[in-house]
Amino acid sequence: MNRTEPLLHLSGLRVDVAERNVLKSVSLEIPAGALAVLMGANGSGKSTLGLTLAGHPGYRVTGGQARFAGQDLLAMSVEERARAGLFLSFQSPPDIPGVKNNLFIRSAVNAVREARGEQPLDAFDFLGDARAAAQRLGLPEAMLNRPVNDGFSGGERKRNELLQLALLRPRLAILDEIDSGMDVDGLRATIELVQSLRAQGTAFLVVSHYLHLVESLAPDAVLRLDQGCIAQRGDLELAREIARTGFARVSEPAGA
Amino acid sequence: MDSARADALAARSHLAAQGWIARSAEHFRHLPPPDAGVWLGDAPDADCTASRLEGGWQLHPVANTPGVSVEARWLDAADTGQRRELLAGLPPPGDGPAAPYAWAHRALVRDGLRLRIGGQARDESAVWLRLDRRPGAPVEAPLLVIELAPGTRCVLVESHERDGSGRLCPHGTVQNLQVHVRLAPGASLRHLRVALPGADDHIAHHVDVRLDRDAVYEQCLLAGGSRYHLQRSVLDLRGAGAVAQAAAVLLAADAALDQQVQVRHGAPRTRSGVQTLALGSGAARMVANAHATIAAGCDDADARQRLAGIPTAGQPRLVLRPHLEIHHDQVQASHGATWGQLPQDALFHARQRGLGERAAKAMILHGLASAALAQAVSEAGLLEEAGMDERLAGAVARHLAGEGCHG
Repeated sequence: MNRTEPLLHLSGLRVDVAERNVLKSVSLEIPAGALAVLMGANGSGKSTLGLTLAGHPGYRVTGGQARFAGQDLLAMSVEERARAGLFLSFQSPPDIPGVKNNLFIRSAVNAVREARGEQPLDAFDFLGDARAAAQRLGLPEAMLNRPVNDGFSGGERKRNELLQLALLRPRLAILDEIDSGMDVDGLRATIELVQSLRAQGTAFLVVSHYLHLVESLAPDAVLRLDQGCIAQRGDLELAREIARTGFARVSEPAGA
Repeated sequence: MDSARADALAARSHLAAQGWIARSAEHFRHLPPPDAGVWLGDAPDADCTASRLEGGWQLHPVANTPGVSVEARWLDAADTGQRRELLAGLPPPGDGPAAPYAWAHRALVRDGLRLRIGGQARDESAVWLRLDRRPGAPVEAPLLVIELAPGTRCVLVESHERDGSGRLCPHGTVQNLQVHVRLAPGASLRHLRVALPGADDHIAHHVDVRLDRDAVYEQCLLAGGSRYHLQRSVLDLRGAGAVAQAAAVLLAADAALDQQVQVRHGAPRTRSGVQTLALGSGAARMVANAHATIAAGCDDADARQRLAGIPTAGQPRLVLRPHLEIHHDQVQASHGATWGQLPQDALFHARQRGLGERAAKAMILHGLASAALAQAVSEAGLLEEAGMDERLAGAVARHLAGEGCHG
């Protein structure tokens, strides 16, 4: 990657979902270690952007470019993107019956480590890391031994996503409404984790409607997505304005 | 002529007169079985030409359990006295839908094993047994009888796997197995069965279970497809409060596999559950039949059936047939069948975490299969302890590797 090239660079990204155009032209840049907040009304395409960048097969890129860490993101498979350091925290994490959480996460961590040329973690070392991370996130240790998200509450599912984030330590984490369903302690743990990972160089694209979280994260940029385009760019003041006036009141032209 | 031989010939004669299973027979019409000649050794379908194979039953007590006795008798059905002992107390083949198999078995049976397990451990723990079967002849009809005394608890891991060492015949063999399980009042058997035959084998396993009052039978079956493979269980809940659970994972890639579970509720407060997950690929032909009958007078009987089929690649034919026949009002029953894809959201989630597509698929399929089998056992961790989980993982991996042949 060129030293001056941002970690993530999107240019005119156009995305269709089931023959319907959702993202018209999204352009944005996220430098390494930066934190951008993406806001937008329901249905504006925030989740679509995250899933598209992660390579979901249901989201078809029909135009534009996406570069990640100096590579053509769109040419990479789902797992190649993940191994290159792109992490998506799901808005509704699925359950995986019969697959134990610790086995699932260890397999993921080792797949990423292998791609980086690192030695795989054995079960003992992994469990030590996982227990410590789970404790910091307020996730009961017993949940490591249960099937992935099986019987988890909404907040526990989100904490489990954060556990994976903490152990995978990606270069870019896209957090899609990580705060929904999360209690106060969970939010505090989220903020601490994000700050800790940012200090280690992880960049973030955070989708949130929750001003308190946005303020606590001290973003480098706030972006407003509207009608499939980045309609507005700003700083925390933009998030505060949106919180005060709502999305309907803000109507700058697309691509502004 | 000795009476053992006369009995075998009489069975053969009866089968000839009665005829084989009709192609239109309700229980078998989706996957008609090969003709009687295959099971009697008259047809050349068994490719193996050896006169005798170094197989048979091998019993391994896993650990000594004080207070529990295990009596094992290997019996030769060609010997009149031993034949009498081997068949003692077993029902005649009768005229049920699978009776021709039973007559063919009676005509050909040569070796059998009778297990009598009795007593109770002081700490109420179960006695663990491992039973392995390798083909003893190119065409064979082995017999297994398991009797549990009142209150006895047992975990039995019964395996039928082709030997990968090459010591045994690599060609297709034919096996018509009859298993009779008798559970006395309060007895409990966790029956973990693995039937992973060779691709060219013809397999028919019939498991007949009779449960007395408050007896518990839990069957977990891991079965793989072959040229023809039938797994048929009849669970006869005769005693009040008896409970039978049967869970199965069926795997077939370009092969045939027919599972039939017939449950008969014949007493009050009996409970049954049938869970099957069929994973097919290529041109596999798979059938999962669950049929429960609740007789009149079975107050508070409870019957559940859940069958699921997932095509993992290609265009397999998966037939799922849940069926309830209820002759009493005060009962609970439910049944369902679902066909569907692998959970795509879980697959994407796993890949998004860095797992390759094949590894993600294997992990999810193994998880689904493991969860399906766990439905039948009331004790957490039993499948892992018994090595079933490991075998399941291996079977799923082989199944997915087989997909590579046809994309």
